Amino acid sequence: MIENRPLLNLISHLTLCLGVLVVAFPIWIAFVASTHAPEALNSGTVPLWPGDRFLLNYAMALGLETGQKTLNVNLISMLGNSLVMALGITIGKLLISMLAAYAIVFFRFRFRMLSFWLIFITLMLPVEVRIMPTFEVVADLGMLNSYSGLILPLIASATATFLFRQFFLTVPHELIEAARMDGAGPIRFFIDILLPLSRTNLAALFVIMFIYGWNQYLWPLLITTDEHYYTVVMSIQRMLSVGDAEVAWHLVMPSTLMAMLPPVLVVILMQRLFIKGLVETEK
Amino acid sequence: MMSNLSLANIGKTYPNGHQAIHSLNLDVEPGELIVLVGPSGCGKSSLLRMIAGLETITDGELHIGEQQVNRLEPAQRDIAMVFQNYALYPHMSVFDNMAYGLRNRRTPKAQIRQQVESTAEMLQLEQLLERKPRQLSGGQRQRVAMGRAIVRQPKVFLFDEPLSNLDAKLRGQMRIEIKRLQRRLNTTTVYVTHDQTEAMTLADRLVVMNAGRAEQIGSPLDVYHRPQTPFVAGFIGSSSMNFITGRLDHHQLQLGELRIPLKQKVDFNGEVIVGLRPEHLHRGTDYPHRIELDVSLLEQLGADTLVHGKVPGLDQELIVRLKGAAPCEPGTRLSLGFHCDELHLFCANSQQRIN
Amino acid sequence: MQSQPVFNHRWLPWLLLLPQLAITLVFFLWPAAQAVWQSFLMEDAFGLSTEFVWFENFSVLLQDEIYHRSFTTTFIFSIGVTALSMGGALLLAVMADQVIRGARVYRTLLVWPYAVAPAVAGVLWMFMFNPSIGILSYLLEQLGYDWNHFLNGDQAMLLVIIAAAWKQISYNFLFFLAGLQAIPRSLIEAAALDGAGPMKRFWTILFPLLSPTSFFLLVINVVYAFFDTFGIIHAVTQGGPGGSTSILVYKVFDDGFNGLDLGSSAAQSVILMAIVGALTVVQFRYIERKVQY
Repeated sequence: MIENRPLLNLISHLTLCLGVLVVAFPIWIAFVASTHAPEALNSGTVPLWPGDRFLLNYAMALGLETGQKTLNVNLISMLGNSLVMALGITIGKLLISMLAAYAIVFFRFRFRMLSFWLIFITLMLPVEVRIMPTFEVVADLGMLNSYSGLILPLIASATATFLFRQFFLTVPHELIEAARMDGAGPIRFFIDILLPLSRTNLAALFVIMFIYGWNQYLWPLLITTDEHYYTVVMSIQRMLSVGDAEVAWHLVMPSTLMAMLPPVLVVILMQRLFIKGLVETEK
Repeated sequence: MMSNLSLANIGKTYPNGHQAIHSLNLDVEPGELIVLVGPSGCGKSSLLRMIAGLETITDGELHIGEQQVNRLEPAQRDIAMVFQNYALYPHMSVFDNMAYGLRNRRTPKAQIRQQVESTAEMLQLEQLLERKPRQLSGGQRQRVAMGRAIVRQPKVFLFDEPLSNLDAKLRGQMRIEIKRLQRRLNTTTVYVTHDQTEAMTLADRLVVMNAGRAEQIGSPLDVYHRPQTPFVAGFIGSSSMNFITGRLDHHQLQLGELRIPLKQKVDFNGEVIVGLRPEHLHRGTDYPHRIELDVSLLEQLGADTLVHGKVPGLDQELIVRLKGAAPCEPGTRLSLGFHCDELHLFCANSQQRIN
Repeated sequence: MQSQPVFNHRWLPWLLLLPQLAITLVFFLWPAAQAVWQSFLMEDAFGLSTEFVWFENFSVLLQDEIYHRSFTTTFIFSIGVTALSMGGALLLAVMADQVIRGARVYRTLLVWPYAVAPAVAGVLWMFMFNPSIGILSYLLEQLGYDWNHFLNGDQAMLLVIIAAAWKQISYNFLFFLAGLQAIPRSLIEAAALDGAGPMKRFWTILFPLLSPTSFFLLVINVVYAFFDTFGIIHAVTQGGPGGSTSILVYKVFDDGFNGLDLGSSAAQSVILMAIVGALTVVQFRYIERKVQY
């Protein structure tokens, strides 16, 4: 019976539970490691159950407690940098791509299609691919070790522009005509009509872009040599590059968990928006 | 392919406690066409899906032929079903759609071809066998869905509102086609619909369902002429029956200021619901009982006219179906007659027929 | 699009486009053009003079054993990541589509790795496979298997594949589950009536109907494995040991920043751009034909 096959249902649940466990296992191990003293971690095998150094390790990583240090800056400042970068990239992307899409959909002007194609081409140029020359441009502009250097090169987004274009095209014609009858010009129309209508799209895109921004790795790694501009994701790699010395796993693991916590929370708490954003940006 | 189907005290209670079907009994004769009819949510589709094996039966016993099939898989029950949205496999050709069930039963290739082709011929689908479902019109898809059911020569056909996605004209044609096909194949059939016209025209017997219960089981004419409850009376008939509340005292029916002595002996005193079909009120003088109607609205249907109006002394508005163009205007008074054996009397408390 | 009523304004549209175009020009098109230009130049050993050499950088690259090996490595890596993450996700999605209750709970429990940065994912798995203190390498040792991805190239490859696939499973799971739930129940019921058991239903009905989703995910996963996994390689293996995990994007970076071979790195960038371009075209052609059934 399709509806009622207890055995099949049981197998499904077991498989799913196993899947969930496999997916969650690395996090558990990381959490356990973040609660032990360095001696417990570096002698033999990592324990499977949490230890008693949770508060101490996290306080040390956050710089609230003095002790062994891996970098000269604490986690709080790096989390702050990550937040600035993620929000900067997100808001910047949303703003400039929404304006660009507005121009392309609601105005007719020369080189409209050319502009569209110029933006489109950025899809084919991920930062990893043109990393050397982009680095040079940023260096020439004197933007190394600065927030603008972290943010600006990453905020052009063909994906977001496309999404807004698709959405604007579905706005009923009558709405524009009615707004015009009511005497609204292009700027009024954008602020009073289009912006409120785009609310859920904006929110969904915000979630996706925030994760994208927070998780940037290569770019901050290259352009920040001053520890005060380190972001938390890239800092982990710095903590691991200790040459022949022993890695301070009891400090790396709190940082690792803190580095993944904000985007993971965003996904879990805003799951509906996240899924909507994911489906729309990738279609 | 004659086989009987029997439902004994069939019930369905969902895990959340909702009781979808209340102890239902039905014996379907071999080759009979049974129509389950009722408003949406009455449980008719659940019942059909329980016969199909797509939902579990929580109470009672279901037999197909001599076999008790409660716990059998859908595939093992030897039944075929036509779905409301046809459920044609979109990635398979018409031929493959019809052959799929046979292949799963390991029928020899040559026999599959022969069976599919003869079924296609019966349904005039020979030219379409290589097409994909998306290349077919609504009516053609409908026929392929039937072909897929027929080709396996199952013991029982099940139809789940198969015509509801077609336009009115096509629906009429397909209705006749289904009836003809069922007669020709003589296969036991259960057909679900919410459309009472479809139910009346197709059925050998009707099961009128309401809130998970079978309110009445009988031939279409039986259900039309002797509905057992006001619900059945109101549901069957193409313009809905008029209901008037009244009192019955010593074979005298009191309707507002109207007094009607009943010819038949009815041993009941008290509150009653009186039903009278719109087509059973007539103009002319050769009727024993008369009422006056103050006409308020006319609906001209061409062949008939529906007259809406009020009878002085009665609260309810009445609808009357008259032949041809109506000889009156809104605001005028119309004199109408009826036979008292065309009155349907129901007890107001038990909702059961009493005459 | 043509019938959309429009506003008329001389300079406003340009003003609106300006930020996007400026950023695109400065940080995308100009560097890309630079890469193309540099791919035609060659520096002498001391970086004192450069010479325009036409396609020599490319011809050197195409004859370079190490570059060939990087291609092979990238293919093995992509196939591994795609197969593991799509296979695992499909299995889980089919199970989640079957259960009567709890599909949403499982979805919540399975989607979050998407939010983990590739580099972080790499560190998590690297820690568990750490040859001296890792829990998994310890278990493998108990089974008589010696694990050291710092020395063994195949093990290093397996490690980065697992880390990359782990992160991508959630994405694939979401799309497979959505694809499965979009298939009408009645099709599955019809197949059950037609005598097809659960396995047969999957292979003859569900799987073919999922093919648009699968193809879409295939492209996405290949793009992911090619370009988005840089962080994993860089944090976990640095391309090693002995170049055994040096995929193309890592090699561009490594030759440019560490090897300081600008001409070769630029030529590699140009080749990668061509690959992204081709993948983007495939992706867009697919979207046009998405409404297949």
